[in-house]
Amino acid sequence: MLLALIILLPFIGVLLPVWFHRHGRTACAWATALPPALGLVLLFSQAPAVLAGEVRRFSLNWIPELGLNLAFRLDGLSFLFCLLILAIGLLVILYGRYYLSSDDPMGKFFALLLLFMGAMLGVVTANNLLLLVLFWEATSLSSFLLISYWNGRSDARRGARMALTVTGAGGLAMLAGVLLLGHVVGSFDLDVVLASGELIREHAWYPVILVLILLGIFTKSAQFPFHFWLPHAMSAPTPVSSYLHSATMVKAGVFLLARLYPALSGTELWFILVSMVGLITMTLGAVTALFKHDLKGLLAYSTISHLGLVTLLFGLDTRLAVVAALFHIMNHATFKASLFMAVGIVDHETGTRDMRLLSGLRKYMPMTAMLGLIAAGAMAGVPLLNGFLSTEMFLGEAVAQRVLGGWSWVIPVVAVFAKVFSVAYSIRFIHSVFYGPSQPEALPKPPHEAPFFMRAPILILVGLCLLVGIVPNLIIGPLLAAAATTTLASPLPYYSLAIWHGWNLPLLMSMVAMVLGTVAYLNFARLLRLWERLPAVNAMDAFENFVHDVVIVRARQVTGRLENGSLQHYLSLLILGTVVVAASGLWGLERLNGGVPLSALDPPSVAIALIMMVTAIYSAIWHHERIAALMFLSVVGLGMALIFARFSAPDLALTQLSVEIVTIVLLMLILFLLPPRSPNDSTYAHVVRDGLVATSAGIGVGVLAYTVLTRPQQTISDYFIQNSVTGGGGTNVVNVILVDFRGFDTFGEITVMAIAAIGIFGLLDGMRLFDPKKDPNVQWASDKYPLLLLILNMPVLPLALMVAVYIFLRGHNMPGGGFIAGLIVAIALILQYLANGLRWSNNRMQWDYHPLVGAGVLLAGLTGLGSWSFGAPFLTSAHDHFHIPLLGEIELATAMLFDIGVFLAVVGATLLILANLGKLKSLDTASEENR
Amino acid sequence: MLRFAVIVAMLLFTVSLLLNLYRMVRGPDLVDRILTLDSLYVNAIAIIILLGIFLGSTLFFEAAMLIAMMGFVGTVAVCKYVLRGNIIE
Amino acid sequence: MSTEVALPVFIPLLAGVLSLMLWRSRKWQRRLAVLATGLLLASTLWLLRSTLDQGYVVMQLGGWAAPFGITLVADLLSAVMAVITGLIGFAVALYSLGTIPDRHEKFGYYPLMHLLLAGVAGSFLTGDIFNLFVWFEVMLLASFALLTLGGERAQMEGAIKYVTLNLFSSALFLSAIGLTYGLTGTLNMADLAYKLSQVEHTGMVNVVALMFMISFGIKAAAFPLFFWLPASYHTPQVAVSALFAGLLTKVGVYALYRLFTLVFVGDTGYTHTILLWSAALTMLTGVLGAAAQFEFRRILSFHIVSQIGYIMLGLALFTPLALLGGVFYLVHNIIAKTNLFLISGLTYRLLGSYDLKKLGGVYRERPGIAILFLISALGLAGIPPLSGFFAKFLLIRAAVEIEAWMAVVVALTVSFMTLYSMIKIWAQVFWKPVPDAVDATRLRSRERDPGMFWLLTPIIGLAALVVLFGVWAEPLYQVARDAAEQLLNPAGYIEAVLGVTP
Repeated sequence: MLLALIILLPFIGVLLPVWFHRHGRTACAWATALPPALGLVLLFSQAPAVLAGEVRRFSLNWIPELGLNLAFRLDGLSFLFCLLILAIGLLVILYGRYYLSSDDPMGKFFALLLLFMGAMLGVVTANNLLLLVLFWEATSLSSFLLISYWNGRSDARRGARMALTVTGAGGLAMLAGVLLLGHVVGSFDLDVVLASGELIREHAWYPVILVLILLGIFTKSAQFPFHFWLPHAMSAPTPVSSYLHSATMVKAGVFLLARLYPALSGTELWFILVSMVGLITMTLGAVTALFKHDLKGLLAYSTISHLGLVTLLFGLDTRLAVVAALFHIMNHATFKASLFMAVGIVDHETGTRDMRLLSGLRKYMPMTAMLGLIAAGAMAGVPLLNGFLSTEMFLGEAVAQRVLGGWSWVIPVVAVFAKVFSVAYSIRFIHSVFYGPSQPEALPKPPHEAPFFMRAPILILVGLCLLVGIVPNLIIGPLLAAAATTTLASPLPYYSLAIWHGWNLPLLMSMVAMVLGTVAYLNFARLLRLWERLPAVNAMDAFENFVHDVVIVRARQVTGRLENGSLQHYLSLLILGTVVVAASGLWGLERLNGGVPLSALDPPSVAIALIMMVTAIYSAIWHHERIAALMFLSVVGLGMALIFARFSAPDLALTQLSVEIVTIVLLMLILFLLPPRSPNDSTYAHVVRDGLVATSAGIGVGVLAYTVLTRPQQTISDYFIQNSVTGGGGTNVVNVILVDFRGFDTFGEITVMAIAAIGIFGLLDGMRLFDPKKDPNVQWASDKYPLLLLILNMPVLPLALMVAVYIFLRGHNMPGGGFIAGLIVAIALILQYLANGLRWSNNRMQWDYHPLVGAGVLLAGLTGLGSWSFGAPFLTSAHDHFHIPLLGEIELATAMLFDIGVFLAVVGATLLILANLGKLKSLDTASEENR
Repeated sequence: MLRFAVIVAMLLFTVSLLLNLYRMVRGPDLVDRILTLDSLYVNAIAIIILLGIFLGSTLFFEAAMLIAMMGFVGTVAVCKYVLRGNIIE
Repeated sequence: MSTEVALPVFIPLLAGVLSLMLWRSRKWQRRLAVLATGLLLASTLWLLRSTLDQGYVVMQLGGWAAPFGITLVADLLSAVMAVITGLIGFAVALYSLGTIPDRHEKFGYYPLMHLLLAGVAGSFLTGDIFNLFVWFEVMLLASFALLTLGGERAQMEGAIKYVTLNLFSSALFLSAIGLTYGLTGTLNMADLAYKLSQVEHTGMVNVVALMFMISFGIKAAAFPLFFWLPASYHTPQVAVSALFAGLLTKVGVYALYRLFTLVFVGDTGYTHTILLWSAALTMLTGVLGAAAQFEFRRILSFHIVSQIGYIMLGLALFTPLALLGGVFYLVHNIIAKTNLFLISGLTYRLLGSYDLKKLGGVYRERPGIAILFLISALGLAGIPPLSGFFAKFLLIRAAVEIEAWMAVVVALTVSFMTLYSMIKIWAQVFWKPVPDAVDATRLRSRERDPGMFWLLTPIIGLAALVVLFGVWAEPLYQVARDAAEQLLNPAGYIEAVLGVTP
């Protein structure tokens, strides 16, 4: 529980700085320091047990079935890292208090810092691989926000994005690796995973798992070839750099190397991959660092180099190398953090970090200079400082390893080479900044010493460097031992942390490197010229160009090829695709005909089919001449109605006819708004293509229908015929299906009508159309409302209404029903509009159509709901016989109420559309007449 | 006898349907096509009624009546369009 | 009597119709919008409760025994989808109060919104394939009307593509239904499943299955049928975009899930392999398309496509874990994606643009909004511990288990590119200083904007869910697991509907 609290504290603490920042900067810093300080106390309370080799565990179920638990462990390794994270975190908070200017929102800064700290603690203590990945991603993200703290600056934004892109991608690779690992082991529990090293290494997936996880590690720890993001992350505020890029974030990678060492290490592949990447990174980083003029750039590459060194150590095949690696991680954290802070002071007090401008600062900031000198000494591996000890161990192991077989000598040689540069840049760091002639006028700000509290963290860290360097065993002996024991998962090899091991090869190598490093620095100008002759690569530009090329340009190509914006093109592909799919399915059939005998042909049906086919084709041919095409279409519609009649479906025939006429009138209203001819804009090739597509689709549908219809089948329709009278109270099965068996469908469909009406209403309102120009060559009739039509029209309405009522009432038993009746009424009303004009008709029908439509659907819905109150399912109908005077015996079903709803909705929707289409035009013609 | 007459009549109307089709396709004018459509409505009514007689069912007569009524409205609308270029003014 | 399975359809339907009757009173339409969507949410929660208790909630409409009448049936997947519909409906209704211009309200925004929700809920709850078509039509027309409301040129252009392809999809759907009826003589999905499980699988069944797949693929915006979506989703009011983004494509996916776990399971080697490739390509093309965009809502639209791929992947892999992941992803994605759209509307309100180049400075001026965006965006990209992480993780793990390496690689790559894309928006809209030419008075103003309440409430609520379904993923995980179990055991569904054991 205490353990969970250590990790939880920073997360809870996130709110503290946010709350306290209004109480002043000092209060804010104090509040922020509280969680890590408390955490540190808690950590130390665990120290005796952990250092004695115990492992503290804490576990809470999260999603146990997924193997994801909130499981934490505190062993030597985690303890070491927790200590680094918390202690350096505390110092950074102190430092940050003085570093940030009053313009910088401090609450935000400290909140993010705590968030990062929590995530980092999570990574190092997680006892579940998934949980580890989770925290791993969290460190990437919170560091992303920290790096871009000054988000007004574009380099900060770009640097942060790059850092996140690289580490995020690595994180995903690692997620994949962990998934595979978990699949192989059967658990994500770290205890189990670490114990199954044998199993993992012998599994066929091992190389994949290793590479994926190493990808995560190398991106995070800025190893070659993923090192390029780190220097660009230097646009972060210095406290962030000194925390993230020395002690914590980049160390997460090497931490994981250590953590998974028992599970993954020990194979050829591991040694080669890890050591080679480490070697290259170390050398590359050291060399590049020397030539960076920006102080933080130098430190960044130096960090890359030192991380490479640690990685290399993990890749060596001696057990002692692991001890050396852990030791160096600690040492590097202390001296690098203090160096970053020193650079921050220089930057803060002089306004620049460019070594070509800085010089002789020793005079103005003696204290900082002294601290910097010691820390840089540690970096260079000067005796009596902590860096020396771990470097010696490193060199010793470099000599002792046998990773490359006969070529193993390469490693110590390259190590010395890198060390030469490491010495050289350390000297350059100190010499060019603090020594030499002082020229304050060249600096943006007059230099002066930083406040004491800003130097205090450096003082503490440098003190540690010295203490560890002089009395190593006393200070970190037990800690290192505990951490190494965990990592190696076995008793430790013998090693001694003494300062003096006598004259030996590593010492000699060290001395050679020192001398050569000094020589190199003395010849810096010459080396620089050589360096500058190399082609310069700006990682950021290269990276962004790469992303741009790969992502944006390719993306455009891909999406451009798929859709070139042409709807025809796309539709033709789509239809062809469907035809191909259907055809491929039919291909496997032995024969299309399923065995049901075909019915005989009769001349009228053949004639009607022929008429429909021909006119359908002609409607396509004539589509430029819209009104003619409409005529052809009308014939198709009529033919359809006849076909329905021929095959004994009078209801369908009636509906088809009514819909047909309403459609014609509506289309005609729209045609008025369109130019009478559409331009002929498709090429011949397009016409042929479209023709082929249409033909193949038509044939396809035909063949499918033929195939299906010739197969014997059993349907549910018999049930409808049997139950229509007894269950639905009507002899017209079609109508009973519509209003009862499948009343829900009808309900949906009238809703569709209502929506269509509203939609068209809304659509038309926004429409601003040009005045349709009538063809001046045509002699238009002058009579708007022909008398003959007026007279003829008069009896039609009452007649139509009567027919509608008749059709409606008999609907349940004979062809008819609410839908058809509604259409009849609508058509009769349309005729009023045609004959008398819009104004006359609108004056006589001054109701709102929206509520009418609504009322229709509502009535249908309420009828359905009515059954609910009788405890029956929705839409259950009831029916009975009634004797009504004049009309006689009649059977009424509640479904009829439903049908009235349908009727109202149909009438309302049709009129709503019509009145508005008409209105639109009357506006236009009115404006025309006014002119 | 009636049966025979109905069949012959149906065949004749079928022929007239095909003649209508010819006129529809050939045109040459829009007005020809409108007339054809109207004539098609009439023929359709006839065929449906004949079918009803043939099958001995009255179910189809409403359909014929509706075609008569609706065909009228359709023709009126098209004519109005041809006359005025607009149907609802 | 299982009233609860019908309520989520009837409540929005009646609310839509009532709004129509209140055509003149926009005030009452607004009140009704909140009330009805609230009721909808409550009823769907009731439904979820019953489904968790009983497994399946069935109502035979009109009292006609299946397969003769129409059956409303909710299994866990349906119930979960219904709850999400209620949730998104409620959130969008609140958001609409603060954002929908008078003109849109006047021309029927609220009735259309209700009817759209009815269409969505109907699609989720119906057990009848033709009835599904009807609700698809309700949805299609309502969405088309909403899409064109306002009548701007860009809207029309997008709407034409939208409606053409969707009508094609409907036509195909209807043909497929006709053929299915011809083959089996029934429309009830449980009965279909039962009948098809009885006969040998012939080529005809596969043809019909593929026709359904294409039709639903268009609705779901799957590869290669997606291009209508990015052409249209960024054009209407943002509340409408959000509603579409959250629900519409998911109905297509739901239909795929329903048919390809219940009905067409006889030849999964064939159908689900096609689905797998389509899913992978959907993920990739969607995210690649997003990379080339610089308009807030267009980027999000392409990501809809990409994430549809993930959800389809769950179906295509067809293992318990994959389906579980698919269901989890559905829920997560609807919430996160809707919220991102809502947030794009928020920045639009502050800066007056959706163009990334004309946005900026939100992080500095309104860190709260920035955090809300970050939560949803990172959730979408699958960053732990937000809901998207588990969704993504489950799917990838499912793919690992059956060694579908292509799917693993694609899913990981796409998730990375999604993150990159979200970061692009973040950098442009939130980090970058406000561009000079942009009027930022609204952004910088310290005055209280009373309308903001309606925008922020749903956004905060949905963002909280993104966090909740991550940090406390267990309940959703269990529901999704049970839903997946039901999907893999169609016999339960068939028995619940038909009352016979197949």
